[in-house]
Formats: sequence, C-alpha cells, structure tokens
Amino acid sequence: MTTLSPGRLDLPETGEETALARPWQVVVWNDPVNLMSYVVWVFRSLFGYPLAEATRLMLQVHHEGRAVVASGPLEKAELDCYRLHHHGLWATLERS
Amino acid sequence: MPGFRRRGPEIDLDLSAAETELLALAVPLLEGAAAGIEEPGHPPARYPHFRAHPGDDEAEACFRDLTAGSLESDREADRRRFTVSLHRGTLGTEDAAAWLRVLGEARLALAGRLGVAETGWERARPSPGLALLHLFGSVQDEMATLLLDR
Repeated sequence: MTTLSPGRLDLPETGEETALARPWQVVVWNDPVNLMSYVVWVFRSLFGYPLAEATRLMLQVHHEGRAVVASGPLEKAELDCYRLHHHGLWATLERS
Repeated sequence: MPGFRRRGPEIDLDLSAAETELLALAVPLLEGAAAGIEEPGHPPARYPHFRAHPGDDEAEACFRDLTAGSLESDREADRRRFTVSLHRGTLGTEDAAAWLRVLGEARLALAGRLGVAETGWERARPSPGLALLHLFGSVQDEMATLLLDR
C-alpha cells in the first residue's frame, strides 16, 4: 500500500514579500495643543476603544511622544490616518 | 464659563451672548488658516497639512491626491454645522462631534499664529489670543468630558 504524501516545496524568500505581508501601523504623535479629554474622545469615537484603553493610549502619546492606535492593510490604515487628520491629530503611517 | 446640559440624546447650550460671539470667532479664524500656509513642494508636517508618509514623497503625494479635497470639504461641513447649531442652542450627536473638531482645529490654528510650539505655553503672559485659546479649550474640554460620560 502506498500513500500520497505531500511533497515539500521550498518557496524562495524575498524581502519584498515579507514587507508586503506586514501590516501598516497608524501612529499618533504628541502635540502641545490638543487636550487630553479630546484625544480620549477621538480614540473612543474612531476606534471604539473602551475608556480605559483610550486613556492608556492617550497617556502613552503624552508621555512617550507617540502611540500606535490602529493597524491593518494600507487602505484601512490610510483611512484611519485621514480620519485622525480630520480630527486635528498628527498621525503618520509606518510598516509594523 | 460656558455650560452644557445633557437632555436625552441632545445637549442644551447655556451660553451668554458674549460667549456665543467669542465662539463664533472660530470660523473666520479657520477660514484664514485654510487660505494657504502650505509651501509648494514642501508641505509642512503639522496642521493644517498633516503628512501621513513623512519619509516617502511619492506615497505622500498619492495620499494627498486621495484625501486633500475630502479633508477640506469635511472641515467646511463641520464649520457650517458649528455655526448653525451655535445659534440654535441645542446640539445633536453629530453637532457635538463637529463642535469638538472645529474648536480643536481653531485651537491648532490659533496656537500656530501665537507661535506655540512646546508645552508650557499655558503659563505665558496673558494676551487676547491666549485668552481665546483657553476659552476654546475650556468649552472643548467640558463637551468632551460630557460625551465621554455617556
């Protein structure tokens, strides 16, 4: 009796494929003008974070200068970034 | 100090005539800011022209092509909603969101004019511009806190 066994296929590894598979991160940066309460409200409104998580992210921005608030494919990340800009927050995109 | 009262899904404004007049200044302030701080070829990274891809000019150009028109029209819609509801005295949920954005944007524009670049500006010598920045901030803070309590 013989059985079929899956053959091994070695796929070439390229840095490009790895980079394409990595999601994009939406980063919010600290600024000296936006109020803490407003930033918490923005994070809750746009991303649906519970109050405690939205507050934690706001404090991370405040103390560390930046925080990743969302991630995903480029199209989603750009939409999130746009919505943050519409709310007056300084947001940028970067590969995770 | 301006005040708000929640009444079901709506918010009642409790503003004096002077406070209403001062808050209305946010809109002409923003129309001035939108008129063009941008330097051709060197878009600044901060308000009113945030950069999404600061290290990639090509990606940034694509992003701006996709979003610049929408951003300006969304901001204009917020200002219209703010102006109409300011004189109506009652805010729905979308009105309140527009208020928060307009007041936040007005604070950024005003801070830019006043040269605010670092924390600690709150302790600077009092001036009319700084007083307006504080007023917009107190209204925005009170409304954001009210909405977060929902």
